[in-house]
Amino acid sequence: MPGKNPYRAVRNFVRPLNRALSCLTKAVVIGSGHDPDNERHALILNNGDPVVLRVNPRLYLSVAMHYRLVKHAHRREWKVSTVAYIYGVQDENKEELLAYHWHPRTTPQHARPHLHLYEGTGANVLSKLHLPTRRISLEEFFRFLIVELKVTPLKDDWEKILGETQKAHEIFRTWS
Amino acid sequence: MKRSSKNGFRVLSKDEGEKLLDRQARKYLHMSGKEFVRRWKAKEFDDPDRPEIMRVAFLLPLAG
Repeated sequence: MPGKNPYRAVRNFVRPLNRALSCLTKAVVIGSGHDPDNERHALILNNGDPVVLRVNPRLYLSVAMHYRLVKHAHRREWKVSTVAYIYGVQDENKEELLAYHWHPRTTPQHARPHLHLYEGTGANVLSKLHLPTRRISLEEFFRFLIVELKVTPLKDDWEKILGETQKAHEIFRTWS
Repeated sequence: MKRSSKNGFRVLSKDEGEKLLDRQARKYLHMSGKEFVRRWKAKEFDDPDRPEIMRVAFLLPLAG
């Protein structure tokens, strides 16, 4: 969601993201701020350490994003544009199970969004591969955790929350 | 550590970001943050898409 200045643009980006996160964790997000001169900012959950999820056997969650601030050419507004993400799940020993990645600048050889299935999933043959995906929203990933991996959400109305935050994200995102 | 409660997240200063990068580089890669930055810029990591490397690399904007 845009804002009339960079500060508000970041605030309007982080608010729904925090609502979505609140469905699974109480951990705090840290970031590098709203300076539009920085071509890349970071938004990191729990200082970059995995956070425990409510499921047995235990799973852990990692979320990290990079974003930049973009000024609308015609409207006097700023918006946040996501430029990279990592959404990962670790097992009870904090070994990687799977991760959705998109980091086109960091690894130009793997510029498109991709999925890693690590050895912990039993996918030994696939563990070195970058399985192509489309861009995945945080809400889609969280639904996967709740519905498929049976993580117990912290909020009873998680479907409503994720639906609302995803809708807000989709209205203003620059990708389809 | 500065807290921007209105923004809903904590904004780290460059110094705090450097300390976090150093802590996480030591934790996940057994090297200092400075060494990680040097090796990252020199493209010395054979497989930068490894999860432990990406975990630290995503912290780089926090360190300025």
